[in-house]
Amino acid sequence: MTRSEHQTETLIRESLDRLAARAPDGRAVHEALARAERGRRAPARFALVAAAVVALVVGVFAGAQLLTRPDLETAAGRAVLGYSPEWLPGDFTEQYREGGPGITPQVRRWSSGQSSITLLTYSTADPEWSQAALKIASIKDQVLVHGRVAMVTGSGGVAQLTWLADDEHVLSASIAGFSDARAVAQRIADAVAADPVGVRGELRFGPLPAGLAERSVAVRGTGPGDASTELTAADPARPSVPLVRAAVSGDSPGVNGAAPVTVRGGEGFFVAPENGRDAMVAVRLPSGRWLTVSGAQPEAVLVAVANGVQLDPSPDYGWLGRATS
Amino acid sequence: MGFEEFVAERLDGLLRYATVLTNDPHLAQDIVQDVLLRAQQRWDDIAAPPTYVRRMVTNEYLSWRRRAVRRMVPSSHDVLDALGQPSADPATAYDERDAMLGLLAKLPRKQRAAIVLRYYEDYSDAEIAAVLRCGASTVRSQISRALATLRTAPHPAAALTTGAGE
Repeated sequence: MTRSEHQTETLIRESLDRLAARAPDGRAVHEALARAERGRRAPARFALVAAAVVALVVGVFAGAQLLTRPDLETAAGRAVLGYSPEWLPGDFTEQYREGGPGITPQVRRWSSGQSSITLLTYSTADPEWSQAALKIASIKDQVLVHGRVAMVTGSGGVAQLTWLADDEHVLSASIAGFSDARAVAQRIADAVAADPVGVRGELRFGPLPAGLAERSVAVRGTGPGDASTELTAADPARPSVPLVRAAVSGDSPGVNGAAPVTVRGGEGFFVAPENGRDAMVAVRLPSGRWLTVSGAQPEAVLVAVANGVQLDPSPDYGWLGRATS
Repeated sequence: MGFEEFVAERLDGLLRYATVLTNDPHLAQDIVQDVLLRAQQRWDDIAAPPTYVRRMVTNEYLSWRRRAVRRMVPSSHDVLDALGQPSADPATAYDERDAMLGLLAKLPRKQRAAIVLRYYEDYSDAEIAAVLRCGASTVRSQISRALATLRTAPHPAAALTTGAGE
């Protein structure tokens, strides 16, 4: 039995879209291109550094810092998370990923009922984690992970195991809701490998207010059906404090009593700050989903950020609700 | 547009296109990487980078015999299973797509490329002809023959699970 041409065409499009969602993230290609570019620049770098040596020792340091910086950096709208556990307890599904450029911490979370497993990755360039090796060495409760000393904290059903994957990355496996949390944390940590995954949400920032830069992208949901994406922007001098948030989700943000305002050329809403909650603008997108932008910013700034947001028609939500170990 | 800006904007899309074209995420990455490394070296001479790079990716796919000698190109199910554990899914639409991917994997390369350009990239006959370097009538013929094959994909009742090996 054959199907109609229209049915066939629809099925082809759906099948190809599904296959497209299996595409690798671009990290390996980025790295290959960066290596090639560094190879081409090598002679010029040598001359520059040599000149700096003659001029000023401090200048050499600054120049080397500049030249050894990665040539390409992933934008926050398309973060790459560098590590994956190759083993997880049964029934756990991944429900959260967060990452961003520079030293933004990377987060992956799996859940099953009330139990959760969170894998965090920090950069040793982050001042808060630059002394991690010393801290780990000073703690009595130590174990070995991949031959490196790791520290264990927590008690009862909660455990946190922290170790250095290499000189640049501090990893932490945080376990909650297990009767044998320490043993589970150890087994997960032993199974963590440098196997990157991507985070591709459904929006990206356009122009941001002066002094702010993209900080992170987070995708969450129990499955593709209730997925949402949130971006944050921060002052690069204080990257741990998000100052503007932009999110798209299927849930209404609650706009009863809000003031009408034009957002993205349509009817939007402005919710004034109240009880410690930031000001927010919201608009329902043509897809039926809600875009919100919030922060301690004037209404006009929030509207401008919302107007500049770029929507991605092909977010990758396929991993939500799946066992992705 | 500079090369780095192009890569930042287009790499994900190129990898998706190459994955759909080759049916193999690993081969897709190889092809895109090779193409971009070559394009990077003479970027200033490329007049229309998006069109040019996409055509290079397509050409690499169409002439991958040399690569195929070096490595086996796995089937659709094998590739997908390697990337994620098989799991049952009661949604029959999911099964239909699985079956369709199996049929797409068996199409001759040029037919598959024409189908991908039409239904994934939404290209016109003329645009597909330009990429494949053939006439528009040849494109229509390729797509017509491919559709005749693809219409035989099983209907919902014929498939019950997903991710199983062939």
